[in-house]
Formats: sequence, C-alpha cells, structure tokens
Amino acid sequence: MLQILPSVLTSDMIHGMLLFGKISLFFGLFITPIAGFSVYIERRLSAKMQSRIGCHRLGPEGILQLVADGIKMLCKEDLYPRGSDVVLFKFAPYLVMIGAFTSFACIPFGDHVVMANIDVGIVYLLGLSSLVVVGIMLAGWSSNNKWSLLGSLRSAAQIISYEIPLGLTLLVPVIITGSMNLQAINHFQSGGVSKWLVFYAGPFTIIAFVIYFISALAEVNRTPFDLPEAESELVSGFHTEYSGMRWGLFFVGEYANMFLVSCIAVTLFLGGYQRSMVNIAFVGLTCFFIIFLLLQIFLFLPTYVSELWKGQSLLDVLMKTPPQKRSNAFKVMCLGGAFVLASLMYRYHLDYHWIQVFVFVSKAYFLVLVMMWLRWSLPRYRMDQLMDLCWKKCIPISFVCICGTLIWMVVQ
Amino acid sequence: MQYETQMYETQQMGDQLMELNMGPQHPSTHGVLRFVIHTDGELIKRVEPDVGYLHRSIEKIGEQVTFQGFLPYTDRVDYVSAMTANHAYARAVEKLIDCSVPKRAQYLRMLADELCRIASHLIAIGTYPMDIGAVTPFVHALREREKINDLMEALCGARLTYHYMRIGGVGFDLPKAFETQVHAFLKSFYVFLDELRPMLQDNTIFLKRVCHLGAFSKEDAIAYGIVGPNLRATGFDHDLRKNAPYACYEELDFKIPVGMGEQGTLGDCYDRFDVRVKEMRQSAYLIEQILGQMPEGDILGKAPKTIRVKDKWAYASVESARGELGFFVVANGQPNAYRIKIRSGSFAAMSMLPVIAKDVFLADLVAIIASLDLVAPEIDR
Amino acid sequence: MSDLARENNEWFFLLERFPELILNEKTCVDMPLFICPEDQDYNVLEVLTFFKEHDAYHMDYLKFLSITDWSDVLEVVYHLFSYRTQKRCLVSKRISREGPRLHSCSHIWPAANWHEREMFDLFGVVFDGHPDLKRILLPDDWQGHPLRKDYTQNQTYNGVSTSRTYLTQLPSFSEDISTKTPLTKG
Repeated sequence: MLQILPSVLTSDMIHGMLLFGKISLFFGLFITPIAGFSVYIERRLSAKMQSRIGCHRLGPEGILQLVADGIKMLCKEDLYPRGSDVVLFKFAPYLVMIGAFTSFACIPFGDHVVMANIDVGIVYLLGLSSLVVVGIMLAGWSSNNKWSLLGSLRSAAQIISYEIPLGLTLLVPVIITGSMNLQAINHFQSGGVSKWLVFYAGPFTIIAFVIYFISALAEVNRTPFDLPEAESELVSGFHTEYSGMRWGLFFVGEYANMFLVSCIAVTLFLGGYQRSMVNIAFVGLTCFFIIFLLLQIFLFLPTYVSELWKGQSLLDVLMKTPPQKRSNAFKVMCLGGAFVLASLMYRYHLDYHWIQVFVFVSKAYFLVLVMMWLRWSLPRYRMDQLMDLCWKKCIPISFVCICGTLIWMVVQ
Repeated sequence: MQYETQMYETQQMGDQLMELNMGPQHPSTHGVLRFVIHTDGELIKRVEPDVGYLHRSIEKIGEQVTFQGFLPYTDRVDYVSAMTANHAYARAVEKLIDCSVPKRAQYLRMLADELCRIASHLIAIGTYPMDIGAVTPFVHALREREKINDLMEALCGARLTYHYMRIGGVGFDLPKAFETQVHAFLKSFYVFLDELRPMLQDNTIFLKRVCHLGAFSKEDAIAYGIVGPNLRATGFDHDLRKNAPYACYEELDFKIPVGMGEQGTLGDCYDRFDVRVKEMRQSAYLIEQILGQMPEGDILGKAPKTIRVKDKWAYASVESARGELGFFVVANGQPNAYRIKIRSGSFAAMSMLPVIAKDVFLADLVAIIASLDLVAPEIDR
Repeated sequence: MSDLARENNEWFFLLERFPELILNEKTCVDMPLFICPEDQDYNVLEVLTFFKEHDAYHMDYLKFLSITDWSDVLEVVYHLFSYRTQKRCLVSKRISREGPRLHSCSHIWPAANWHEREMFDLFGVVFDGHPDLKRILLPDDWQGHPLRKDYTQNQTYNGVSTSRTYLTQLPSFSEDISTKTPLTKG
C-alpha cells in the first residue's frame, strides 16, 4: 500500500494526517453538535420556564431548527464595520474557538478514550482558557465601537479575575490525588459515589466544587456574570458587530466552553466516567430523551413518507407537519424502558468504552443544564459587585478550602 | 429656596471623558429615547437625554380636529395605559361644557382605569428585571397583560388603543359574562403577585443591584414636578384618587402604598418597584369593589353634537399609571379646541434623570431609567 | 375691597402685595386665574416667587407652563399647586408676538427647566437666565416654531420633502361638522 504513495510522504506524515482527521471528526461530529444541541435545549428549557413552548416547528419537536440556523448563518453577508481592524476582526472568533476546543484534547472520556493524556493536564487547561480572553479583547477592540470595547474590557477583567479562584479550587483535587493527570484523577474516583472527590474531604470539597462552578460561570460569561454580553445595555457586548458565521463561531465557542468547564468539573469532582448506580441513572435519563426523540422521528416517518409521496416538497413537509402530542402513558413507558436498559447495563457489568463516554457526557450535560437554569432565573451582577464577589469572597473561601482539605487529609 | 443652575463639570474636565451614545434604538430604552453619556471608564459623569424621537405634534392636531375627534389621539399620548388618557381629556371637555356623567359611566370609567393601571404596571415591573438581567419575570408579566388585553378586547374591541371613553360617558357597556372573566383573571393575578416576592424582591442579586440606587428626597421630587409612584416612593402619600377624588373614587375603599425604605434608602429604585407592586394589588381590590357596587343606568350623558364654547379654559387630570396626566383645553367658540396642552408624568421624570444619574455605573443608569417607568410617547407627545 | 371681604378672601395676601393683578374666576372652570398687567417690563418672577415662598400659599409644585397663541399676543400661563394648602391657581401674562422674551423661573422650580425649553421650541419664546435653552422636541436644526398659528412648514427638511399632497386641503369648520365628508381621502 505504501509503495503506491509518492515518496515525499513519510509514515510520520501519514500518521499526522490520520490524527488530524481523527481530531477534526471529533470536533465536527461530537463537540459542535453538542454545542448546537445545547442551543436547542436552551430554547426549549427557557420556554418551559417561561410558560411558553419554544421552537417546536421545524422537524420533530423542532430539532432541525439548528440545521436551519446554521444554513442561514452561512448564507449571510460577511460584514465588517468601517474603520475596524479587519485582520484582528476576522481572527478574533478563531482564538475563542481555539481556546475552547483544544482544551478538549486532554479530557478523558473513558478508560482509553482520550486524545492526549498530558501529565500536567490541569496546567494545560488553565493556560488555554486564557486564550479566550485574548480573543474577546481583539473582538471588542477591532469592532471600532465603544460599546463593544466596554463589553470586551469588562469580560477581560472578569475572566482574568475569576481564573484565580478557578485555579485554586482546581488545586483541591490535585492535592487529594497527588497528580495533575486527569486520567489518574479519574482512576482515583472509581468504586461508587462515595469515592467521588466532591465528598472526599467533608464540607471543604463541596464548597470547593461550588466555588469552582461559580468561577466557571464567570469564565464562560453566563448569567449571573454575563455583563459583557448584557443584552439590555450593550446589545451584545463584544460580538455586536459580528454577523453570520463569525457570530456563529462565537456562539458555538461559548456553548463549547460551557460544555468544557462542565466536563472539567465532572472529571475533577463528580467522578469522571466511573460507572456507578447514580451514574447509570443519569444514563437512563439521557436514554429516555434519546429514545423519545427517536420514537418521534420513527413514528413521524410514515406521515413524512406519505406526504412526500403525494408530491410535497421536503421543506414543506418538514415545516408544516404539526407536532404530535404523545400521551403521558407513552412517556412513562419510554422512561421505564430506559431505566430497565440502564439497570441491565449495570447488572451485567457492561464496561465498554461507549458506556463510560455516555456516563461522562450525561453528567457533564446535566451541569450544562444547571447553567442554563441559572441563566433564566437570576438577574446579573454589576461589574463592581462581580469583582467584589471574586476578590473578597471567592478567593478567601478557596484558600480556606485548600487548607481545610489538607488538614482533613492529615487527620484521616 | 433657590436652585442653582448647574454648569456641568464636564466643561471643566476637558476631554478626559468618553462620550457614548445610547442611541434611539436600544434594547432597554423604553420607547425611542436617546442619551448622550459622558463616562470616566464605567462611571457616568453626565447624562443628557435627547427626547423628541416620538414627537407627533398631537397638541397641534388637537387644534385641527373637533373635541370628540381628538379622543382617539389621546390614546396615543400614552399607549401603555390609554384609558387614563382618554379619561383625563373627557373630563376636561366635560368641565368646559358642564356636562354631567351618569353614575354607571363613572364606575365603568373607574373599572377601565384600574385595569389599565394594572396593565401598565405589569409592563413596568416586567421590563425592570429584564433590564437588570432576569428575563423570566417579563414573560410572566406579559402573560398576565395578555389576559387584560383579552378583557379589553371584549369591552371595547381594541387591545392597545382603546378609545373607550366618550364626552359624557363611555362608549360601550359591559358585555355578557364580563364579571366572571374578570374574577378568573384576578384569581390568577393574585397568584402572580405572590410569586413576585420570592422571585425578585427577596433575591439577593436583585436587591444588590437595586437598593440605594437613584434615591431622591420628597422635596426634590416635588420641586422637579415628579408625580405618581415615583413621588409616592419617596414617602409622600399624594394620590389624586384620594386627595382630589374624581369619578366616584370617594365611594371606594383603598390604601395608598407609599415607599418605606425597608430595603435600602427611602426613594430608591427598590421603593419605586415595591410601590408599583403594591399598587397593582390595590387596583385588584378596587376592581372587585367596583364590580360589586356597579349601579344600573345610562352609560352616556347628554353632550351636544358640536361643542361650541366661547372663551373658556379647563384643566382636568387623572391619576394615570405614571402619575398625574392632565389636559389643559382652551376653547374659542369653534368646534375644535384652540389650544390643548398635555401634562404628563414621564416628562418631569425624564427632566430629573440628569440629576439622579451622577456617579453611577453604566449598568445602574439602565436600572434607573427603567425604575422611573418612562414611556417615550408621554414625553414627546 | 371692604374689610370683611379682605378677611374672607383666601387670596388676600397676594392681592395686598400685588394689587395690579386681576383675579378672574370665570374664564377657567373652577380655578382662579390671575392676570398680570400687560406691559413688557412687568416682573412676573416676583409674583411667582411670592407664590412659592409665602406661607399662606407655598406653591411648591409647578404643574405646567403653557402658551396660547392669540393672533395679537402670546399668553403664557403658569399652573401652580400647593401640596400643603391644596390651593391651585393659574397665572397668566401676555407678551408680544414679535421677539417674545420672558424671565426664566427655573431657579424657583427646577421643573420649569424642561417646560421652558419646550415653549422655546414650539413658540419661540426666549427665557432669560435659562441654563440650557435649546430645542427639546424637534431636531436642533429645525426652522420655525410649529405651535404658532402662523407657522408654515418648510417644503424640505435636509433634502426630504415634508408634505403629503393629498392632505393639504383641510375642511373648514364654519358649518356643522356632521354634514362634512371624512378628513382623509382615499
């Protein structure tokens, strides 16, 4: 096989290209759809909290809306404001995406399902999250717009400040496990829920987890810390002047970042991909949603096919078929079936990699849902109150957590 | 007491300040308002409101159309609570021609006013948390306002600009089963009011954003001409419905909620918010009483087809959701008015804004604007 | 006025201090109107300050400041109200239509600030001593003062036409309005 290739290519280069292909597939088929799906889930979840329905028209339960939005963004005119620094303007979204996406390289999704098992994984993560700040500042500066500039400066100040409690609370698992390698931290937490690091040192690790979560919210610019993109003051803050796919990149980058910090939280505090009863319950719930959605599509298919057979166009069929209301009995049966499946997997020790990945993603996604829940219930902090919260409250408490964990470890 | 005419400090500070334009199109300016802001980083040193984007020369139009024909224009003066504007103008013209309004019409007018007050306050307390960041209460408030819109549609056929009042009475009588619908609405409305307390008024973040912000004293408010809930939040219990009762308000029993400074300073944004929530509850009680005491009778008094009054002026005002909304009408013997002057509460509140919003953050400016419940059509007419 | 009338009259202190004011209770429906004399140099500010500061009146609330354009004069009307004594009154002063000037009362009531700006904008009355007299409702480069009776609009504003041809004919109000056709055509 290698003989037919030109002599310029070496096996190293092929190896590199295969790796590049694997990584692109990972990002394209895994992370980006999760980010896109998060958008859809956010719209439905916020609608549920506000007594309305949300997007439910296009496709079964509205799931094809993200495809439509993606196509729309690609078709838009590529605008950049007059007087803006075009090179920086075009480069800024890429920096944000790079910062978010490359951090996924070191996160273990399963026993051997990790792209790069870096020994200092935590340092790598902290370093790359700072790249996001540079991207945001470039976006705000190059927009030639005072409001964007304000938004990006606010965001920079916020992210840089909250990296300190983030790093400090990330130290707590490092202290307990004695290693910065994320796989090692995962292996430390095997053997049931009581072995999760969040329950290791009594109240100190629980508080550390909460402080980590708050700092993560601030890192991602989510409410209650979304002053940089405060809709009621700055229109959209640093991404006001972006339109079309460039804005889409910021958007996807933000949701990927949300997923990233949830993944880190799960890895370090909530047991990673380790299989246990509680985790399998999460899997069951996720299975329920997937089964429900698949059944909707499956039960829709006869209607779709018959409509297409009659000669309607695909777009019409997708948009005009009314949503089917499924009865409560149907939903309960799906839920029951999902849980039966999940408990069978636990009973028969199905430890294949995919179940670990599933456990991990469902736990991380639960944290993403909590972030969305917070966004739609809480008002936002003002800039000085945000800073006050960070420097006067989060940092001292994280120091206390570290010392408390150390003392706990010595005493036990 | 003399008030100093102020020279703004910016002219002394030179060009160290950043000039920002919170333009006429902005997600949080209530209507089409523009502010030119001079900031020192995030601290605001000077705000200059620029109004007039919604100026439709309604006062000039009043000189072209007849007295009765001007009534639909009064809806547009304050389209968020249009019934009160109708009511004020109708009262002014009735004073001119000395026309008496039958009792049932008075009660219907009060009913319409109170429903409108609730609707307007719903928008005020819905958009206020939205400007602060919590989007969900806005949707809940609008859900309740939708029910009021449906009631109004049953009553007079329109959902926003009602043209319900006529010179001498009201235009339409209560439809069938209106009272059951109103009671059903009130039942869910009390639930909504009770939900507001844990959602917003006990929420730490909301309190941090809102307390001690934009406070002014009662004397300042009176001097600047502030009326309505903004004035009552400073602790001064003046309400036209109690102090200068019109339209049978003296037969009803209600309290005037007044700001008490329980969280933060007296007269700050929290008090304005709180006063509006309490006023909604009082309006709900009023509606129940009105429906219980509604007398029978005509809904329209005797008013001439063409109103010709020579050399007379009249001023009448009602307590609208934003305070005293008054119409000053000058008649000169023609079927149309010679001069109509409209006095609204938002105009005075807007003029006070540069004084309140000094040395606050940009995010606070948005909160202050929203707490004053400014609607642009009232300011610009 | 006789002594008995003086004691019963609630406006006694005012009319004693300013006997040249004419009290008119017929023009405005249930509100007293005080008409200032018509010479140009009459200082209305003194009257207004007296209203504000005298204990019997304490008119701390200026409700509005309106101007009516009679064809030969402009009549300025101040509506005052007192929260403490619940008294209210109108004060009126006629000024000439050519080059109308008046003293600003924004140092007495800050509420007058924006009302005076509005009157300058719509009628062209210049208020001496006003801190910031410029147009408020209309754009800064608008020409003319619209609420005057003799106002004609410019044909264009910054190059954009200001008229809609089918509305230039308005019906006259000399006959009964009920027999007329509706205002707009088509």
